[in-house]
Amino acid sequence: MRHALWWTILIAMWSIQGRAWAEECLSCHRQRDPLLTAAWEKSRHARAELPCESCHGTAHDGGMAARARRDQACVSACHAQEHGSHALSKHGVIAVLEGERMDFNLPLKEGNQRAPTCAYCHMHDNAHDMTSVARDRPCRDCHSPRFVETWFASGDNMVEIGRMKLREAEAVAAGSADPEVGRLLHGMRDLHLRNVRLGVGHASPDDQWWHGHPALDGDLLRIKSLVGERMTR
Amino acid sequence: MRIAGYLLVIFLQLSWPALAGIGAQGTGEFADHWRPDPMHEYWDPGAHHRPETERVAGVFTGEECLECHAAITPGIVKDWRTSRHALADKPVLCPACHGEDHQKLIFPTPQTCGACHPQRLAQMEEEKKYGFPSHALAMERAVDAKHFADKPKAEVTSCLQCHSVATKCDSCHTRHRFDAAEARRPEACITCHSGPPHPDDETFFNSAHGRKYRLEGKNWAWNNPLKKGNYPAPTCAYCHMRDGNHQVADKAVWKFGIREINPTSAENKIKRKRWMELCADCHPNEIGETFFQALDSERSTAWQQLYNVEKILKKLRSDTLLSPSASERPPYPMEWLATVWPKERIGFYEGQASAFYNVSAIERDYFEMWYFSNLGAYKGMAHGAGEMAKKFHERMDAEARAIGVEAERLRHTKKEGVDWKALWMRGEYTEFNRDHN
Ligand code: HEC
Ligand code: HEC
Ligand code: HEC
Ligand code: HEC
Ligand code: HEC
Ligand code: HEC
Ligand code: HEC
Ligand code: HEC
Repeated sequence: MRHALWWTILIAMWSIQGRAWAEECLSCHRQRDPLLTAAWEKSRHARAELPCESCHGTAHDGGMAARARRDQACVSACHAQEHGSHALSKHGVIAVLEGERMDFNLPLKEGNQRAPTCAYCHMHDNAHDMTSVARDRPCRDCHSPRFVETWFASGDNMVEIGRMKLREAEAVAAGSADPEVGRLLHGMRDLHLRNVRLGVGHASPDDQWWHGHPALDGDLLRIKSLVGERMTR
Repeated sequence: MRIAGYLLVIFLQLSWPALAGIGAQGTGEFADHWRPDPMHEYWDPGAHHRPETERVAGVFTGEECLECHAAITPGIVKDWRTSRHALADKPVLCPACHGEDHQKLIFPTPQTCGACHPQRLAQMEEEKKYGFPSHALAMERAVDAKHFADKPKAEVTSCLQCHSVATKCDSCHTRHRFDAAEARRPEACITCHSGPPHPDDETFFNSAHGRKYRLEGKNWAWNNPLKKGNYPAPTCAYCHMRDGNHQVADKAVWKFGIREINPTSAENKIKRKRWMELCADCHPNEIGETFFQALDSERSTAWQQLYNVEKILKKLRSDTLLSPSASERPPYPMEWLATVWPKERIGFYEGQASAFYNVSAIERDYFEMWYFSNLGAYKGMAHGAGEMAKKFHERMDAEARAIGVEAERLRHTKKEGVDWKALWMRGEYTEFNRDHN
């Protein structure tokens, strides 16, 4: 109870401060970058009242854009889990190995950086509304359209097959009140299927496979086993 | 939501042959039982590449390729321009690897690169004489796995992303920079050498060598070849590709670790000597000797434990206590014999490495103990991450206990009145799987 109260106060303070920070930046940047700020105001980040500093840092030193273009901006703040799959992809690996060589003063487009960072795909060409279609335009800077189309057609099938496993499990589990079955379903939905999706989106074979499909297989057969055993009683 | 799901399934079923390319054939031992996924042509271009003919037509010079592609795929051109290929006295232009005719584009195989880098290709080819696993044989190893042939191809294209190390040379020095310095760093290997059965990344990074790399590696001179004296601590390629030799199998004793071997056979003694010579680049001989003794004795303990658990499972099988039984599960498409003589697979020699789905829960429990915890413990020892090896052994102990308890329970549980066959043979995915190899 006490904890909950403290948390509420903390979050409230944080969001007030956040708003203050955003307002402080916005007072100038609304005029300087009207399109950018308008786009940002539509984003889920704005709705979550994330201050500009979360990605750009607090030092107004001319390195603010460059900082936000690197992976660290997104990872250190909030997206550690998503980062795992990116870090195990060739993109993530090259972003680490060539972090020093890549020029983050250049805008995130046209293959200006050798490998994409989080923002390269999700905020391609400065899309502060966070709706830039990460699965098409950014990829085509460095891959043929045909490669990109084939990748996502195939990848979507891979995710759909994962959903089939989940639906099969849900059908088998229908009506079961076994908490273990519930736990397994939760794992399928929120962990393993999610890993397949992240693995496809971030091009990480390890997440598509070892943290994805065989893990779904295991949960599916365990659910069948538990439900089957209940029938004997 | 559900209706949308069904519609999508129908759409997938209808469009699958079209997407997969009419007449496309599988490869390897089970070629007749599967059709490649569309992405396959990029992973195994030698076998599956089908040049695109509709969108761009013409025969172009290298300069023309560069000019047009600077607009089409600017990243590729920028990448290439900073590569050694672009900076060489006689630049290696796009047509050297892709051909000149845009309707007959080539996707380069190791042979394509080997035309100019014959020594590297020959080294990788030589790897084949050491058998599995090896980079040179990785693709056939993957497609010849029964679960690869059996499962829907879109589900298993992930295998190809890793096992394509055999079929194209851009796995470690990636396109279009082809930078040897990139390949020397451990991160070049971890996109594939990661995950529960082969946690080479975590075990290396948690070793004394890996910690040193993490602390100082950024400042080492990565343009130097992998030779004695050039690096203060070893990385993946320093150890496994000694002196830049393009093969990773000439020292492998315990290999992947999924079966027990005899580390003191004549052949393995020679391989061990090669390991010791490598450690001697930086350490006195005793360090290597103690290290490998500890590895072998850890392996022998692990295998005793695995054999004991295998016995429990085989006893359950002979007492017909595994539910569902083999006849109540979907068969592999390539095994007509199994329809008359079904048998549960337990352990390496019976092919359990492919039988991790459509099996009973306790068989899956053993699979996880053998394939994840055991292999994690092995890599922990092999790479000098003692703490990790210890943790994986604790997990093996817990799993062995749990399997023992579960086996006892199965002996005392009624299993009549359950239609196991209906549970295991039906369902949306299970049926889709049967129709889409
Ligand atoms: C040293 C050999 C080499 C050279 C030179 C080369 N490429 Fe490639 N290229 C490759 C390899 C290897 C692949 C990967 C093929 C695969 O996935 O099977 C590839 C793939 C491609 C792809 C398709 C895959 C993708 O990611 O979109 C395009 C487009 C491409 N190259 C364009 C070019 C252009 C343009 C040039 C000239 C600037 C060029 N390449 C020069 C080796 C080369
Ligand atoms: C007039 C413009 C133009 C020229 C010249 C050109 N290309 Fe392309 N190239 C394209 C376009 C457009 C695509 C994308 C086709 C697609 O994805 O559907 C492409 C795609 C490719 C691909 C990838 C094909 C695939 O299946 O993914 C490669 C490789 C490639 N080009 C290499 C070359 C080479 C080598 C040359 C010179 C011999 C060259 N291109 C010259 C426009 C051009
Ligand atoms: C037409 C001949 C030719 C082909 C084909 C070719 N290369 Fe090269 N490669 C060269 C030349 C020339 C150099 C530069 C050597 C130098 O500068 O000493 C080079 C250099 C390299 C380097 C060294 C880079 C470094 O940082 O030191 C790598 C790695 C490489 N090539 C890989 C490949 C791969 C992989 C392929 C196939 C996808 C390939 N090459 C195809 C001619 C070729
Ligand atoms: C594109 C994925 C990929 C990359 C990158 C890769 N490997 Fe591998 N490696 C594999 C696969 C797949 C196998 C297993 C092959 C098989 O099934 O026969 C393998 C096997 C091995 C083996 C086992 C050989 C044996 O005989 O037991 C070693 C050692 C190895 N790789 C080292 C490396 C090193 C070192 C690097 C980095 C310099 C590296 N690999 C990069 C995919 C990769
Ligand atoms: C994340 C990359 C990755 C994925 C995905 C992957 N593999 Fe592998 N595979 C490897 C590596 C690396 C090894 C070798 C590990 C070692 O030697 O320690 C290996 C080993 C193997 C081996 C054992 C080789 C032997 O002879 O002992 C087989 C068989 C195999 N893989 C088949 C497959 C199949 C089939 C799939 C897909 C269903 C698959 N792999 C998915 C990376 C991968
Ligand atoms: C498992 C990772 C891996 C794979 C796969 C791989 N390479 Fe390499 N390559 C390396 C490493 C590491 C170096 C650096 C070697 C050194 O320091 O001496 C290198 C260096 C090179 C070089 C430059 C060094 C030189 O002067 O020869 C060439 C050329 C080359 N590789 C060609 C190839 C070709 C061709 C293939 C495919 C048959 C290939 N590589 C596949 C890891 C790899
Ligand atoms: C200090 C040297 C060293 C380093 C660094 C190292 N390894 Fe190993 N690795 C070994 C030894 C020793 C074994 C056990 C070999 C045996 O039993 O023959 C091994 C085993 C393996 C195997 C199983 C196949 C085999 O050769 O038996 C793979 C795959 C592997 N390592 C990959 C990697 C990868 C990937 C990295 C980097 C992330 C790495 N290693 C770093 C020494 C090293
Ligand atoms: C390129 C030089 C180099 C090579 C080759 C090398 N090592 Fe090391 N090793 C080091 C360095 C440096 C350290 C100390 C790391 C630290 O803690 O700072 C070390 C530490 C160790 C340690 C830990 C010692 C301790 O006191 O904790 C062991 C064990 C070890 N190495 C075994 C091996 C084995 C086995 C091999 C061969 C497979 C090998 N090393 C190859 C450089 C090397």
